[in-house]
Amino acid sequence: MSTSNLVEIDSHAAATLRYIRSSMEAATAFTVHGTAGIAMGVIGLLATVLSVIPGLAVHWLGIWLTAAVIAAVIGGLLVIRPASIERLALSGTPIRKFAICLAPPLFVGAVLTAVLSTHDALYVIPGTWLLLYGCALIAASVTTTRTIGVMGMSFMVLGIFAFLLPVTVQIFALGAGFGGLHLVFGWWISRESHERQV
Amino acid sequence: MSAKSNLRMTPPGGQRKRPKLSAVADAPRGSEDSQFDRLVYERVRLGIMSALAVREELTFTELKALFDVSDGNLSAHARKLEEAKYLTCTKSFESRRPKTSYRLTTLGRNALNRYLDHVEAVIRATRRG
Repeated sequence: MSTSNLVEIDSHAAATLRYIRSSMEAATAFTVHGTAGIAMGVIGLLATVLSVIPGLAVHWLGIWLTAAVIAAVIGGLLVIRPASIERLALSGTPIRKFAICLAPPLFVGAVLTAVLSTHDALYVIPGTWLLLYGCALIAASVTTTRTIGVMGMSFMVLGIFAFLLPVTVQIFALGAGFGGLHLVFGWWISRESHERQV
Repeated sequence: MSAKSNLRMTPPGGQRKRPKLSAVADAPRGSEDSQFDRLVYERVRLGIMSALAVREELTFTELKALFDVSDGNLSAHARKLEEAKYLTCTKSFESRRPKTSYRLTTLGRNALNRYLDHVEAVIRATRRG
């Protein structure tokens, strides 16, 4: 048997292994569950309501930062919950990729929040948050469904729009994004996932 | 030179040289294995079995989306695997709509493991060579 034949068998076998691996990865592709979006949306709406109460309005940044932490924890738990331990272990790569895509824009958002609040430029924070969260979702959509990318685009458009709004109504832009968009897309993703299973 | 004659090659010194693909050639390959090779060699069927190896259950719609194949094509491949008892098929109704789900059987999982061992043995043997 010639060397070229051996190389051919080797590359064919390697391609077969790659195909098996990619089929397994595709089957365990990371699925964001709609319930996570709905829960985060409810928290976003609650934060909006608290932020417009006259006595609490001055603490809007603290309210939203607390809401962000609660939403991240609840959203994260709801995303992971449906997977059994075995499936979670097997789908480790997609989950890791999802987190890697999501993390950098969120980290930039945290750093900019600290910088902007130190320099008393609070009026640009709502637009910045919406824009960067949109970027994070678009990046993360590479590892999950296209709907997440559409949701990211919507957040980015709303973020740009928020920069043009008067300071007094920017909280409503935050509410429309982290409350409304989360609820709408959470419901949409739930419906899509139900249709896929039938 | 054919692969078979290469495996029988004896060097001039008299000491029989172990052929490059001996690991693969030595692997036990009964009639069941050969049947499996023929059954799983086809790309879609191999994909279906690989996907079901990491998911407890997949619906017809999920498999169709995963491999981008037509209804007829997927049912033909799934039926062949089902006839070989590598898959089980469950038909039910959800919200009044028919739902077809597939699961990998123990026989199917063992067969896929054997196939994977075989492919890995080919790679090891050729790289060692």
